[in-house]
Amino acid sequence: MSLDGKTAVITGGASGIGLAIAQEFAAAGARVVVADIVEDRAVTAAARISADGGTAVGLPVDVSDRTAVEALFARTEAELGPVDILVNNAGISIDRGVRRITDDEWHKTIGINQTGVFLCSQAAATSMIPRKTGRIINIASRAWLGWFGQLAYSTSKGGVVSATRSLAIELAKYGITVNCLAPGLIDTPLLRNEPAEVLERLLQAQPTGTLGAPEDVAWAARFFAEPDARTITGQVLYVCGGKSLYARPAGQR
Amino acid sequence: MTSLQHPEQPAAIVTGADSPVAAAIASRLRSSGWRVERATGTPVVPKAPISGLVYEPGLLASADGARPGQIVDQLFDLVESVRPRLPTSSEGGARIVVVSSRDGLGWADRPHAAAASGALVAAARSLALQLAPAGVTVNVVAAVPPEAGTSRAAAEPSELTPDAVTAEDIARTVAFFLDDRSGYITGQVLYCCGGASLLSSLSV
Repeated sequence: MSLDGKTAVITGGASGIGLAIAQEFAAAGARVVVADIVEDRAVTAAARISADGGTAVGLPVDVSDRTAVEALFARTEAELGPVDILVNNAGISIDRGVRRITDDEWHKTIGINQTGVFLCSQAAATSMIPRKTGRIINIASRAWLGWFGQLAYSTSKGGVVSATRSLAIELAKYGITVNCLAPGLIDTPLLRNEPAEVLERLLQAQPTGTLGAPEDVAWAARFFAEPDARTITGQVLYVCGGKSLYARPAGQR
Repeated sequence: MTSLQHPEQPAAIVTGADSPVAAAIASRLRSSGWRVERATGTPVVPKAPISGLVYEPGLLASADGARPGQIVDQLFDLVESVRPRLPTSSEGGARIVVVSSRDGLGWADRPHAAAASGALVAAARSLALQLAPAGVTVNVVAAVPPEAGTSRAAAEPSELTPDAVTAEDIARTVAFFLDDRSGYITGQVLYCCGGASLLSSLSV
């Protein structure tokens, strides 16, 4: 299988897109670390993957905390071997207009979505560089292009896109590729929290008129993760049903 | 990778009869279970349903002299001609992939190829919007001229990765977009360039 023998760490791996990626990678032969801020959820998700025949462990991590991130990579190496593939998926979205967003909400969003990518990528790159191989896949969002009520979220995801490009440029010579996926509307618990009329408006703004599935994103992540993808780096691939091409601004609220 | 799930073996048309990149794409698709018909690029009305169309206008060569208008018109004509043979949304939809060049970001030695590449991206994004409700995705693979042995010209955009881009790398990327699992990806440009696109402001 295409990821046989690889160790993959997926942050925010216990639900939604992260879980789908963990399952996809495990099915492709990787040993996966499901890392999540809630340890119980990480352990439960890992158990589910193991029950399906994969190799997985669930570990806790707060990606915005250096000590926690270093502990995650140390435990990963001890239990499953050094990390070959890192998926920076952990993220939060606090939708708030410019006049209402608080300092705490802003810093929390930047801390998890942006600083989390920095800390985890630093730990992974340090391990990958001497081995001259590795894959880092960042989950940004189509929203980095800008969207109503998403000042903090889109700013943080714009940082993820920039981080992807700088990391790709710096790490290319070590055989490490760094790419980014920018999902649009994906059917996750996060989205299902939205009121029905908001969801309806969002769907109307979709060229395909459909919601994506977490598995759609996982499939694209696997494409970047495979050893054969060695000459693709620094790319931002939208998995958004065409929303990045043009979205009618119907999501205004 | 798997291919579109239709009752019979899915069929794809790959243009660029004398292109080594098109040959690598055809071979890759065949090994993933596609029935592949090589074509010249002249519009053909296929006899049977077509689930995949790969337009390879040959922009990944070191020479310039491309005719942008002609290259884009040919894409529109091809899409128009296969359109009645594309499966509908409920039948699983279809995939169109355009092979373009990193030159679209600008390249001093090949302004014609650059213009054609940029135009193909704009065309593909518009076709993607047009065909999205019909379940047809349209994507672009933008590459650098692939390594052919050791004979590559010196003045090419250079990869940052240790490995140079090969025709097989490009073929793998095309096959990704053609896969039935790539249905939520449309109108996108994926550079297969070893990072050579990264220092251009247009690349993001």
